[in-house]
Amino acid sequence: MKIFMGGLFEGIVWDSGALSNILMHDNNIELTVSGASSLIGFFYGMHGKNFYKYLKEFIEEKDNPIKPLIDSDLFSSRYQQAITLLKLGTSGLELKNQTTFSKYLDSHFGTLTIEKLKHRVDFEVFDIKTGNFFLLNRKTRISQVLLSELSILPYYRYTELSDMFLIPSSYICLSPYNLSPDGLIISYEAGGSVSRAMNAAEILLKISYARTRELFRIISKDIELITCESPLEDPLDSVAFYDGMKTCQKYMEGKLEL
Amino acid sequence: MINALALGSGGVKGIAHIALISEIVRKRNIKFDIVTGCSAGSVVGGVYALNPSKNEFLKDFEAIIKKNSLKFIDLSNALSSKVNSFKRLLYSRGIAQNDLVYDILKQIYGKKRFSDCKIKFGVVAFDINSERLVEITEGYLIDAIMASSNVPGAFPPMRLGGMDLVDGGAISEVPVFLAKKLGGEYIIANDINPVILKDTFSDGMDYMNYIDSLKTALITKNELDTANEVYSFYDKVEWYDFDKYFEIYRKAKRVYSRDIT
Repeated sequence: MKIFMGGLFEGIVWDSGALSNILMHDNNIELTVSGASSLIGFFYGMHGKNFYKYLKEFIEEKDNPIKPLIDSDLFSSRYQQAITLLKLGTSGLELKNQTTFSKYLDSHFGTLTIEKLKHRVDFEVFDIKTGNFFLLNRKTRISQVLLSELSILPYYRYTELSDMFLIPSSYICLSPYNLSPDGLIISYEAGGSVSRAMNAAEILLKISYARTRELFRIISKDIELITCESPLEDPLDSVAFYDGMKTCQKYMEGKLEL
Repeated sequence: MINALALGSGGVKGIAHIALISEIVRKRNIKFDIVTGCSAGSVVGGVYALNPSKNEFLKDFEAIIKKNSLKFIDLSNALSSKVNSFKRLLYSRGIAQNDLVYDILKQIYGKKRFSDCKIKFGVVAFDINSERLVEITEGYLIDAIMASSNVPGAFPPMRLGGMDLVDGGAISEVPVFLAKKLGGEYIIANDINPVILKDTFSDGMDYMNYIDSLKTALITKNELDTANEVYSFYDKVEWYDFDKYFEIYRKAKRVYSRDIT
């Protein structure tokens, strides 16, 4: 089974639940990931069907620089919006320090490369210099993979790698871009919606996200999708994991309306 | 064969649509049965749809731009001031008021309706509440064109028909699909906002805008791929640099004179 997963952090718990359910039925999957799902991909590649336990431990680590991406309140906090506008409008390309993040990932994953993972996973990225989507070379170090896949605006700038400027494909189109017609997409975020925009900054954020979702709609129109049946109050709570499992089970039993 | 024209968004670069129409008519003596537009494309498309036998209407727009030049300067100043922009991005739903756009469109369209158009005409806008594209083909031209030209961030959303509408360019910069829906069989599309790849950024806002323009380019390509002929015009001006309209027109004339056979 070919499985495609992308998105930002909102769906990471739910998507993990859905994938865990699939792995209970089918251990022979071909997984392509992008964005926050690259963490799911990495821990699946390392640990197989028990990946979520390790993913959870990693996310909950004290001082993990991905925390601001997970706990983002950019859409609800005017203070955060003001800081963002000031920082991005007057100087840097990012809100956080990518060098710190890079060092953290290096210390964690050392020289481990994609090809050394126990289970096959492909990581898709987007090069903003050429406008191309592609899978990372299997000799790429995991620390570089995750740095590129988590170069999520406005927190981190693009990642420079082999003369390319890389960001996750899923920032552009919610999932990997190069999907195959016989594949299955798992995406909690495909079913969600951004709340009402109260000011011009939120309107711009909302439109940017609407473009991502429109591109997703275009590339995924003939492909099966597992998404949430209704958005959850707290998609990062463990309830989301079981909801993902349950929804996926319905899909496996042919009971999910696609 | 039912010929249709799909005109894209791009602010003042919309002047290039006038050059395109005049060149196509001059070289091919073609008659268009349908015109669709987004934002600046809707402004030019509306004028063309009301009087399609008039092939050259630069002078009409020139008069409007000259008459409102001070208002355009005010708008340009409001949009290019970072201090003002940041404050208004946070505390209002748009940096500037869209009264200016309304006043100008009123001078062009008055109380004319879609039913006054001599050929089929349609525009696209985007409803930020439902996150859906809205295709408008009836009612007062001024309302529809105003909604279609309502640049998000720059102006507050326009309330119409229970929706909060902004520029259709949010997800449909060149409305080829609408031209097909209206019956177009041979569609000529004009993209005046193509993305130019780059690798240097003046600041984080420039970087974010660039990434968004890459998304838009992919969405637009999906629509342009279904057109029969696609023309493209690039000029590195801000959409609100209305004082540059004549340079843009001359440059566009040269480009289309070369590209249209």
